[in-house]
Amino acid sequence: MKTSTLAQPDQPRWSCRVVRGWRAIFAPDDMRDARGLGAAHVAGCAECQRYFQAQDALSSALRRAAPAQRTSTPAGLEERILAAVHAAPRPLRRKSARPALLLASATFAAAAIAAFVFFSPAPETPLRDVPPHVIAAATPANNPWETLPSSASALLREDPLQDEAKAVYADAQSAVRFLALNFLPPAADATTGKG
Amino acid sequence: MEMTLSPVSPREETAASPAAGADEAELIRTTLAGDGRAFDTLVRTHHRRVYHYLRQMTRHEQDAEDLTQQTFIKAFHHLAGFDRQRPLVNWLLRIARNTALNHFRDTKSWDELPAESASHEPSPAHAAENSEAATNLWDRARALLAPREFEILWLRFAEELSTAETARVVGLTQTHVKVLVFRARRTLLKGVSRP
Repeated sequence: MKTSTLAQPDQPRWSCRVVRGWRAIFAPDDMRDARGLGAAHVAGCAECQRYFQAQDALSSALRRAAPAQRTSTPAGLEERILAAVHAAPRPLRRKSARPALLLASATFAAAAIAAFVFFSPAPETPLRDVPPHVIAAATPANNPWETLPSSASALLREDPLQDEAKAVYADAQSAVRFLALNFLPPAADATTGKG
Repeated sequence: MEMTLSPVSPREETAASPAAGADEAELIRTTLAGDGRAFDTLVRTHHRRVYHYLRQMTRHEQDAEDLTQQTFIKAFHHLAGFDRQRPLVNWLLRIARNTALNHFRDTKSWDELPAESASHEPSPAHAAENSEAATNLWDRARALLAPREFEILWLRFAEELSTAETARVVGLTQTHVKVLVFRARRTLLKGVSRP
């Protein structure tokens, strides 16, 4: 007769393993509060009851056996620790950031903001969703100069740099003429031959 | 020569100490204000637990003593960063663990401690102690379990930390701690049930 390879006499049933693993992970530290974590299964499973009793007994035994592992400390340990601590520097208190560091941080932040403002491309206004007649009403004219008075428009159309150059040139001509008239000897009269 | 202590649980020992409860936060505040004597009280209260934890993990008395000193010096230096809402001993155990792992720099965990550190000292006193403790459940646990499982079991049942506290000390999730406890107890149960 062929026997199942899954059935092993020393292995708990699958449902028992699930409940034990489930409780191990999800139960609180105090197992007495493990209501609902497979409690119905444990209530009807003698093997699981023995398993959890053994677990509790093991935990208790570990707690009871622990003092035997720490009944002694080396003589003078406390004094040596205290001496080492007293020889150490004082505890570090939390210090606020140094002013120089704060200033450097603020400068860097300002520079970064300025660079962002000056070098980032101008945002485009999304007008796709705005009806054309609204855009037309909001835009006074294609050429903004046409909305200005004619005299002002005429003034603005002239190149101010060119006007300035003309004015300087005229002043220079006047100055040369003034100097020539007052400080140069009178020119020879070609008709009289006097020089 | 060694100092023998009464076999009380770590929590009872801490609760009965002068640094218990709200006093602990006051002692920390006083220490940070510059009163070194306040830290002495904290050392007296907690040095045994730190030492015994390190001794269990390193299995070497001198290493455990040196690491205990380093632990308290580090704690003294970084006391300002301690969260006073949590128990100080858990923080100390975490520092102790990190200090020990850094001490054995080449190894990342207790699993690969150097062989010379993982051996008992062969003094007559220790030989007598070991023969007496051969029946101790913790010695069986050390023999049967992986070092990490043993550490978790020690913190949970000898130091009597909760799952959450244990997880914080060793830097694992609570689920991971529960799985390790589950495996450790299962292995230990099988081990102790065999002759």
